[in-house]
Amino acid sequence: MAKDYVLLKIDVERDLHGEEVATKLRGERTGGIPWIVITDANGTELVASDRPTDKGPSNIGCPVSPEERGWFLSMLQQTQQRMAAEGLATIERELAAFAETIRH
Amino acid sequence: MSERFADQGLVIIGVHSTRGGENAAEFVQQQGLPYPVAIDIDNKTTSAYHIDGFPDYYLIDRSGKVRVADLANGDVERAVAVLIAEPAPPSIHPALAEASRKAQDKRKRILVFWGAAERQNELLARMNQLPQANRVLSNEFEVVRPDAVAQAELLPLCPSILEERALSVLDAQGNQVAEAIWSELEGPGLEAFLKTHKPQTLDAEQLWAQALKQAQRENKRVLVHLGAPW
Repeated sequence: MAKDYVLLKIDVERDLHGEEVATKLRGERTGGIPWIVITDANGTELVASDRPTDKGPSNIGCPVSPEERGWFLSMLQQTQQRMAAEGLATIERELAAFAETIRH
Repeated sequence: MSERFADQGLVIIGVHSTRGGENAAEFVQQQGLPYPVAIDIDNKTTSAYHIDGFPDYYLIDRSGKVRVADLANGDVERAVAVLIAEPAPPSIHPALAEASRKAQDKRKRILVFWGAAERQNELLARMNQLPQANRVLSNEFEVVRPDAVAQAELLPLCPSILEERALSVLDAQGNQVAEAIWSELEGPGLEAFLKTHKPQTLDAEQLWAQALKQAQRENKRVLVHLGAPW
């Protein structure tokens, strides 16, 4: 993922101005944390972890279920610039393996 | 062989038998051997490794274990290649490994409790009764409570205090940052110790600005994860 993305973790409770940055990025959207957003290099949102559903957007949180993992991969597919299909497949496998550890 | 594996961590040490050891230095110089050669005083090494002929070869892996003994000449290079191909063992003590992984992931530090379990329990109970200390503990530290065996093995990490040691703070890689003895943790000392040695608070505004700069410089996008310690 490092080929395509600068990875940034914001801790809304511990980081100074964490809440402010969270509000700047997320606005009024709700749905708990973790919440993930991918922006361009100017900070403009490209896609967020709010998965479209029949009942409106729903934050996937930590991507564990097949639907959640699918949306996370879709976020990467929509925004990647260099990542090969092989890289996405690797991430898919890692997410599935992580989901297994959660289930057990 | 020493050249082939030089960049991959192979270290060769020659051991010359006790007999004829007085001529070893001259021989090494004449042959231009590219590795150190020790002389086996009183056959101690020969005896310890049960060497039954010369030359003989013993391979020790990266964690210090003898893995191959009494190796024939023709098999040495192949056996070395097998061990070299193995991943390096974790450099952190197993008792700290899980906490280290979590601490790196969540930008925390590691808090190691020392001493008997009863005293550790008392200290934890005190932390739980102090709301501020409890919050700092859960948000900023991964707790490790090593058993007596692990404590003895971890001693080289923190050699300055022995039985009086109560707590150590380690960074996420397992390097000691601070330690406290029991008397220093009495009264307000406990909360002060935790607050003083928690990880540095980061400014999210700065992190965000730095991430954007990096993304512009490297033509990347920014993936932001909003989370919390829990």
